[in-house]
Amino acid sequence: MRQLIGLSALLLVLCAPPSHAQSRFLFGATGSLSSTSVSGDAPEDASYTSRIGFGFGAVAEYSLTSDIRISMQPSYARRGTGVGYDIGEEELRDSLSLSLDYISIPVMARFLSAGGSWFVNGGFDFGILLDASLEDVNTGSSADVKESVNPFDVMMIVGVGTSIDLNPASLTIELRYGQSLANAGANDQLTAAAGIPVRFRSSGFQLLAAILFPL
Amino acid sequence: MTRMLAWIVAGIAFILPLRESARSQEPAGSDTVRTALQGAGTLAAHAFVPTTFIRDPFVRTSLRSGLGFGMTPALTTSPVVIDGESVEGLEGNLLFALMAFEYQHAIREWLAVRAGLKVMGRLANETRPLLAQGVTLYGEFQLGWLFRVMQSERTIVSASLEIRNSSLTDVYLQRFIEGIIDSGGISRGNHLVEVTPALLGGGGLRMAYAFSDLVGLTANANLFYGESGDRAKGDTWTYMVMAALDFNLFSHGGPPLGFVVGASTGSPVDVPGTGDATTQAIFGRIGYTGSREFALGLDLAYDLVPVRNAESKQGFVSAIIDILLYL
Repeated sequence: MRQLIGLSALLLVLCAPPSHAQSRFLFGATGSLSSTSVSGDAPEDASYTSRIGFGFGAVAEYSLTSDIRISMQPSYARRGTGVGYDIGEEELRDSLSLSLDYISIPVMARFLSAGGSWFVNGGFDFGILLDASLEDVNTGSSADVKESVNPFDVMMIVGVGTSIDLNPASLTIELRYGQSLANAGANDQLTAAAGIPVRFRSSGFQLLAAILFPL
Repeated sequence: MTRMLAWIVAGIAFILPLRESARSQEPAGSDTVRTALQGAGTLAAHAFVPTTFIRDPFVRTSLRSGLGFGMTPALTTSPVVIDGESVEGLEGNLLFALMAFEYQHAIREWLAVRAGLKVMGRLANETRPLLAQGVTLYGEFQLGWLFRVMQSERTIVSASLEIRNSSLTDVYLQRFIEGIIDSGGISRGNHLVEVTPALLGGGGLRMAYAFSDLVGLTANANLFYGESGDRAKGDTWTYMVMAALDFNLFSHGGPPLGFVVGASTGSPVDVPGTGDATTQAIFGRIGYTGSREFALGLDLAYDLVPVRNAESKQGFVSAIIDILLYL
């Protein structure tokens, strides 16, 4: 009964007539460039270095009020890190490259400024691991390490951006910071194979552009 | 250094548009929102005196910076024995320096996002404490949200939710030297420098109550879960509770001066070898309270903190110049 009441209340909220002229639902597409790395325990005599990644996907937004939206952005995202070893030179020498491919599902609250030109986002990014590979940069050989990485990831995300009106569509550009809350390492196989400890997790910045259309 | 520069640039890029955003969020011709989001937190004609040691529950846009220095006035550690030989020398002192920045941006009257950066370095001024305690550098990045839960004429309660990403660099000379002696040379597993990152997530409750236009009470309770700086402990819960009374003479029609006196207690220090003893502190502040644009004060504290190679907790005195700008 409680579930029925809850479902009815949710439907009532979602189907309520808009209080303003603009549509409550917006749909669109997004693309992103990211600079991600790994924080956590580093391998012996080595440090993690950042990697440029990319992502693309869809966007769905629902206006709770005229200035607060719930935004969901299911997308493909590649995260990763390099592992640079201290070999006695001034700079660390990258020897390994870890690539983590996720289906990323950010769920965020978007707070718009009065004119709607600026916004602040906050929420969580739920990730489902698609693929994980470890490449030896020097030899070019690559190994599948999906079994050594946790299949799910949760990131806390905060972003700030601007919205450009392209009547009837709108273009948004956003800078977002994300920090994984869960360890990516699932077991000590990566430690045995490449010296990467279990305690590591993704973090980094993302620059996103999205185009949204009212439904 | 490169990473720190990147953080500073990112911070500036983050703050500038947000500040513009805060202005653009104000409804035209209305000063109500601006008044609610800016200036010192006020309840029942009492303007609360801020201090770096306790966070107030007021949702507003502000930029805070702190610069501090501290020392142990009477360090008492166990004798330093290496390879059966006692190291002679003066007891000396532990010294530390602190630098902290925090930006909080009020998105709504009830909601703010905040980011903070804290760097603390600790060293010693004599051979014995330098060997036994080493040199430590602690850096912490905080990112979180502040929600106003309730507000009445005299009371305000807010909840916070945040993550803390920290790194502890520990240069432990005694361990390194003992390792060399034990293994007959420098071995691969014997590190002079250990870097231990830790991620914690959690939150807390903050409340403030105005007894009168002169006196106010602020209290915090925080609970976090995550990695310990002592990897042997695994993931742990940490807590911190604190309360402070503040006296604002300016709110009472007097000179623009405010005072704070308070106390706190919390979980053990997350450094290997420091044991499970909790930390305690008493703190205070004398500050200028005559401006709605900023607060300036000298924060003083006496902390009882467990350190390694010491049977009892050590007392630290610290002084921090705290500047809070209401944007």
